[in-house]
Amino acid sequence: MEAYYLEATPKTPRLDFNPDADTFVISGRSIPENSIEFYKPLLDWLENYVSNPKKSIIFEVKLEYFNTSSSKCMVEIFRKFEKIHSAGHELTVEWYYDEEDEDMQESGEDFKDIIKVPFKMIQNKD
Amino acid sequence: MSKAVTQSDVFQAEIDFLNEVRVLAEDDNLPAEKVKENYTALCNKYERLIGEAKLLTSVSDRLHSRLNEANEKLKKQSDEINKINDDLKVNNQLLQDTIDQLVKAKVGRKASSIVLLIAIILFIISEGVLEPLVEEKFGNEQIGFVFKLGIAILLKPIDVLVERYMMRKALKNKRSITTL
Repeated sequence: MEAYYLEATPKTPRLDFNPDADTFVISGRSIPENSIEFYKPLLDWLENYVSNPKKSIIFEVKLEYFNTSSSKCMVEIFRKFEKIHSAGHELTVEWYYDEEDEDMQESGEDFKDIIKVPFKMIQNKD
Repeated sequence: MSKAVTQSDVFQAEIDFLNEVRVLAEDDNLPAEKVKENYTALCNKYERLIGEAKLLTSVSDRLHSRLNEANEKLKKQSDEINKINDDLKVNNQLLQDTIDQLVKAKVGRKASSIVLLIAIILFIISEGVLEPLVEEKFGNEQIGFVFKLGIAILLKPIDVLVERYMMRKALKNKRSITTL
């Protein structure tokens, strides 16, 4: 299975999903013109990955800002990880936020409430 | 139209599931166990959707609040910029007035120097050329004095004319520099 990688742009986040790595990363801003169109290939990639995942995975979310439709797509991504977790694989979501960014912290807590996977809230060091 | 399509796409999985359940609901021959199974699935999906709706509302509210804050900040900055702009306009006018006064003073000084030079030249001409000529022709010293008086009276209008001419020239120069 090939890795799924997209470089960040001012409106879209960096997506680093390497099936051989232990960590998947999404970082940057997520305000694409069409969130569904942007996240669809990643969701398709994850659908394939769900059938043959690694034993232990960490999903790092390092978003600075995202729009409402991106948050729905994030829910869909987390749903895929729920499947992996419920199949008995070790999976942790790490949600990074800046100390002064209360919005991002609260958003992480909202996701934590509805997603059934271990969810860690991590405050950025600097 | 495309916006509506995009928005419904966000909930495409939910729409598909709803259509699936609707088809099953119309099936009168569906066994009770299957109905219960579908009903449970529907409840689970509904519960999940409530959670997602809460999350989306919360995210949306935060974004709205952030936008509002940014908007207020921009408005405040815009007001400050306008105030600075107004102050700049006033200062600019003051500066312009000062420059005009300086130009006027400079031109006035230059004009006075030129008029003084003209006066000296006229005095020399009057003393050296006109006076001997008048004395020779009319034999009257008073006519020479009238000439000198005429030159003295003409000095002020000459000064005004020279100053006006030089002021026009200075303004013309200033305009051409501004255009450049």
